[in-house]
Amino acid sequence: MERPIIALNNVWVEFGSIIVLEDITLAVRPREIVSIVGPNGSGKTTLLRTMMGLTRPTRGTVSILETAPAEIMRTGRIGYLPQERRQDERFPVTAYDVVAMSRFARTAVIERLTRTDRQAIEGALDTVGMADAARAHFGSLSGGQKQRVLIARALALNPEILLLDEPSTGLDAVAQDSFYLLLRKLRDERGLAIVIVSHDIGTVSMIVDTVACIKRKLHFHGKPADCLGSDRLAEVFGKNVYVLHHDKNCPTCRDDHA
Amino acid sequence: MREIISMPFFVNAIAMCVIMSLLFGMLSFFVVLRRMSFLGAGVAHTAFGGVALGLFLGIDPFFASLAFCVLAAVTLGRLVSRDGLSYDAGIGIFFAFSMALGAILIAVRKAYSFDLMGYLFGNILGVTTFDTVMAAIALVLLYLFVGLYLHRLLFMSFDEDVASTSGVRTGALDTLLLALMAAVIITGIKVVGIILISALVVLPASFGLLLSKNFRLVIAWGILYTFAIMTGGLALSFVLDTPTGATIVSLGTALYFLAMAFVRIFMNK
Ligand SMILES: Nc1ncnc2c1ncn2[C@@H]1O[C@H](COP(=O)(O)OP(=O)(O)OP(=O)(O)O)[C@@H](O)[C@H]1O
Ligand SMILES: [Mg+2]
Repeated sequence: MERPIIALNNVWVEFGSIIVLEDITLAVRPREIVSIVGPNGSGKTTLLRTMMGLTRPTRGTVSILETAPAEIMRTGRIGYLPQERRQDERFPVTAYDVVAMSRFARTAVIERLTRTDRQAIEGALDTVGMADAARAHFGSLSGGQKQRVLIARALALNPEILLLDEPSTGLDAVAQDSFYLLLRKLRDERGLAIVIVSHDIGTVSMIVDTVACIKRKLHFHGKPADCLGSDRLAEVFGKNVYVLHHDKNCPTCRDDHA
Repeated sequence: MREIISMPFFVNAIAMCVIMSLLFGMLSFFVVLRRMSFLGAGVAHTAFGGVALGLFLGIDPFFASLAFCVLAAVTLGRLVSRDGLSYDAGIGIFFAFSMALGAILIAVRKAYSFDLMGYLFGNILGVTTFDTVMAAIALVLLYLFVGLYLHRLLFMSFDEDVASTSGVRTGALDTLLLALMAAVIITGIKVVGIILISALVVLPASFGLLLSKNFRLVIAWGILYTFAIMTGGLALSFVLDTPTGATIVSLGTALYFLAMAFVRIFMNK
């Protein structure tokens, strides 16, 4: 077995007296694409935040890229797409400025974009199909366009791991498909490990290697196909797993998971 | 007129206007975008407690309030980000307490000679060379800081979580920004006073945001605007014989709403 790129060992996260994550042990291998599935409020976002050190576990240990999360943050090796967008509409930056932020993040002393930086920014904008809107005011873009720019910002970092919290929010069908293909390409060509939280299981299961079913506890982590036939899972997750069942049998997925 | 200009306080006043414009035009940008306006107002009120503490302990009131406010700003800023303490409640409680403490200390010390009105509403004619030099030092520090960290500050203001996972040292930057904010506010209190300083913290960037969607221009408009209202307010207060700080803030508010109306009507927004 290869050493895990993200490893959680008996991780608990509690907010006051509320237990949000209970005794989670989970390993993400290099080049693995994991989908985190679970109903609203089941702790998916918290799990993602715990992986990169934004939330500290009350018990247990986390290691990411063989380092403590607090350390890894400083190196900028993680591309993160948060679920919530809390930006002020008036925030005076262009789409280009937003993507450039992730290049400036790793500046040592003087903030100046090199040619490599500019190529990375333009390349990322191009990848998400936003090159033409590079000079547009970010706040004036549509929801889906903003989402694409934020994805580009994560990509421009040239990360080793991508942590994506409901990335397909706001993307149209075409953009979703090409986004998922892109993720697969990033994994194949650059060897990224990718963790995706998604309710849109139908599409995600086409590209993922494993599924992690979360509802406070980790109820299952393995190949999507193996998640079937478990009555207990169906009991805990209800329709959320039913969708997985459905995918297994739908024509697009059968080849992948047969 | 020549006589007035040759007077040292007037020279100081003009120099102060220039420095204040550069200080608050820039500070306001980050305070507004990071949604720390209320914290700014809180820090200004905290200054009152700091001044009183200085008088009480026999320390220079400027340095006492500087130390007190920097500490308060950094502590409150930390509490807010770490423990999720609500900005509104935490700051509201703290600054009310700090003003109360100030009032008690002044009463106990019987410091009647203390220029209370000057601290509350400002007194530009009381600005000394010392005040101007302190403001100039704050100016150098603020611009050095922004010059080095502009884009990272922008990232942090835009999206703090992603900034930190991308490699921005948000904790350190936040602390420095809070400390500088406190220092800048303290230097401005002499001019417009504790009660009115929050206007200088909020108005410049709000004005700039009305006129531009480019962050450099928003900052530039904020600086120009502050210069216009400070010199305009100063002149007006001489002509009308009104309190300077209040005149500056009133003029600033009027100009802000005028710009808003202008943008609504002519730029169709
Ligand atoms: N900072 C916090 N303080 C207190 N409770 C929190 C905090 N963050 C999350 N929670 C609680 O933890 C639980 C899990 O939240 P989380 O955001 O991880 O769910 P989720 O699975 O991402 O949900 P969704 O599908 O709606 O995004 C929720 O009950 C939430 O109220
Ligand atoms: Mg979530």
